[in-house]
Amino acid sequence: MNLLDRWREIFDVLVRRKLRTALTALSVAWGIFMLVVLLAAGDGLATGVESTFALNAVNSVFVMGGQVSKAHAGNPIGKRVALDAADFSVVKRDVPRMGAPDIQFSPGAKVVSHGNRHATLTIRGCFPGRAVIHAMQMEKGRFINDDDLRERRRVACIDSKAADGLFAPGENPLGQWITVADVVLQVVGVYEESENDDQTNMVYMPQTTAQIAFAGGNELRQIAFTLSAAETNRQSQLDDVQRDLASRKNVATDDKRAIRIRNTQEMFDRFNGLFQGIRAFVWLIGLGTILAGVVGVSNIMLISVAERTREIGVRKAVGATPSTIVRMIVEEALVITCASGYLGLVAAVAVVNVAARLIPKTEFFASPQVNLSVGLAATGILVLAGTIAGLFPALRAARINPIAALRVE
Amino acid sequence: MIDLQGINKSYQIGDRTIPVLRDVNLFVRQGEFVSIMGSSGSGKSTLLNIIGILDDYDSGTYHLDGTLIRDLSEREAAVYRNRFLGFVFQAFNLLPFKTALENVELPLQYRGVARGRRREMAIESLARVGLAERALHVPSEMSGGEKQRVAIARALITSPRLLLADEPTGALDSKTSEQIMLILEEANRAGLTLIIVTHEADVAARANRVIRIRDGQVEEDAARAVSSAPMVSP
Ligand SMILES: Nc1ncnc2c1ncn2[C@@H]1O[C@H](COP(=O)(O)OP(=O)(O)OP(=O)(O)O)[C@@H](O)[C@H]1O
Ligand SMILES: [Mg+2]
Repeated sequence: MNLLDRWREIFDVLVRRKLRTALTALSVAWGIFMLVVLLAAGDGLATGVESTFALNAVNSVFVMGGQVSKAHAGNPIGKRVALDAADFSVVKRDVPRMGAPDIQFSPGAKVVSHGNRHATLTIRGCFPGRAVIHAMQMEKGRFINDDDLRERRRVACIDSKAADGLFAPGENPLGQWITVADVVLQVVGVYEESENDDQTNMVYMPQTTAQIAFAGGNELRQIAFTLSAAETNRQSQLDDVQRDLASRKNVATDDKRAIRIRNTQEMFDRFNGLFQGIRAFVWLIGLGTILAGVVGVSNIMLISVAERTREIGVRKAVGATPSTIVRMIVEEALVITCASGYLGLVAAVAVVNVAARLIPKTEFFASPQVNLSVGLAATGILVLAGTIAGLFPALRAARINPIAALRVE
Repeated sequence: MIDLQGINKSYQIGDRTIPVLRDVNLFVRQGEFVSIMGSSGSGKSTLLNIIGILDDYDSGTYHLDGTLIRDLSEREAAVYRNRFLGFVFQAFNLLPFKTALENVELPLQYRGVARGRRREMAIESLARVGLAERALHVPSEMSGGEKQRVAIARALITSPRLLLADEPTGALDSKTSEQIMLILEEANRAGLTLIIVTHEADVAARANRVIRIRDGQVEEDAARAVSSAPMVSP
């Protein structure tokens, strides 16, 4: 039998049993729909979180003082631990190849003025490394540099939103003087603010300048640096930091809340693991749903074969070989699964596209999409599913004995 | 053409073995018209099914056109049926959702004949049984006699050497039966070997030879002395 004949036969049967075909088709379409939509949702989740992370250099390490959580050497639980410049030296010693070091001194929020414009902004003293660690994008001018730091220059780098508050539209902030409390600073740079980060409404100044100008004591809010992923003994270096700072502060070595070390690479890995887990889960659910569809198609085909016993007997009597019969039934199952699965796929892509437009981008969810590999995988699964669904009924059909089928009732 | 020797066939029901055919010997020459008679349950259909390679036998030998038919795979049996044999059944056995034309085309479809050629041949075959103008009707729109004529057209379209008919007129009135018999006799005159199982004496009487089966054995094999049908040598 040639291909065209076979297709006509399949089409005939499916049209003849419209309701049954439609119901079976629905279950398969639903399976594929669920799988693709869930995968796209997982994709959106991953994209959202990944883009949030991209704002920080992937390999940053942050060291912060916290609160004692294990009583140790007379330090009670709940006691605040503050880092200072001497601690920074220890960290530098423990991590000799650190990149973009940054210590942060935070005088807090203050009223900042330029002419008769005023804004309440967060003031921070920092190192040049800050720009690297937070992947800051300069809009105008430059960030704080080493000379500023060494010479304790009275310069500031502000974000674009702070600039909008302090300067008239069209006015160039570069070179202008702003007053922070009673300290006067010259703006040397403006960076792009991004709403996903805590880098908005900020005034950055050299850490050295800030410490003198705001006499805030020695306390450092955080020590940050980058550490190449290629560094072999990263973890042991960070363990050294934990141990040395703990002994300096008289807290337990394993008190991770007193000396807090956050490693974005580690978190990134952990998120990646989570996404892989979610993806695996989605595949599991989706495949389960498709499997249910396959069982449905298979069942329907079994009923169809039983009803068509006489027809199959006739076909065999006039010369249909078992393989022709098997092919006929498998192809029928394939057509149902593939056609309905394709409809499910199309519906899923449509829903995902609409969702991508309607759901606003957030820190945790952004631009869900059905990528090509998912589409191809879904197609592969459908063909496989259809074949499996058709195989058992087909083998049963092939075993039909024409004499029994043709016997007069 | 057909050479059956010492054919035995029994069916197993539970642990009981029921013999259906016992030591059947039968020789049918090319172009013969043979009718098989016998009471119900005597084994006529079983014999016909074995000849038609729809059923197998337990012991003995069956040669069809010189070829030993034994332990064929289903595929080989299907090919033989398609090449050599045509079947006509009491219950017509047309595919209900297909038109007369499509039903008649079916064997050619399994033979891989191209669509256009197939259609031509099917129309020709339908014309031979006088149903050309019914080509596009489905079986439910046809009378019993018409359905049986479509079934005959389907059996004849492959130009088989042998046509096997199991009570072809069993479900038809005498006038319609006459029509059917005329068609079959004409095919026989054109060289087709014809074996008909029947309960009707007047149908059986039209054959060159009447075989009576009783309890699975050939009881009588009577060649009629006077035959109007020409014999074609094998
Ligand atoms: N598949 C089977 N299993 C068991 N017994 C069977 C089977 N097919 C036929 N028989 C038995 O074999 C015997 C012969 O059956 P067969 O159909 O050949 O008879 P028949 O001569 O054609 O009868 P009828 O004139 O009623 O059609 C019967 O007794 C029947 O019950
Ligand atoms: Mg019978």
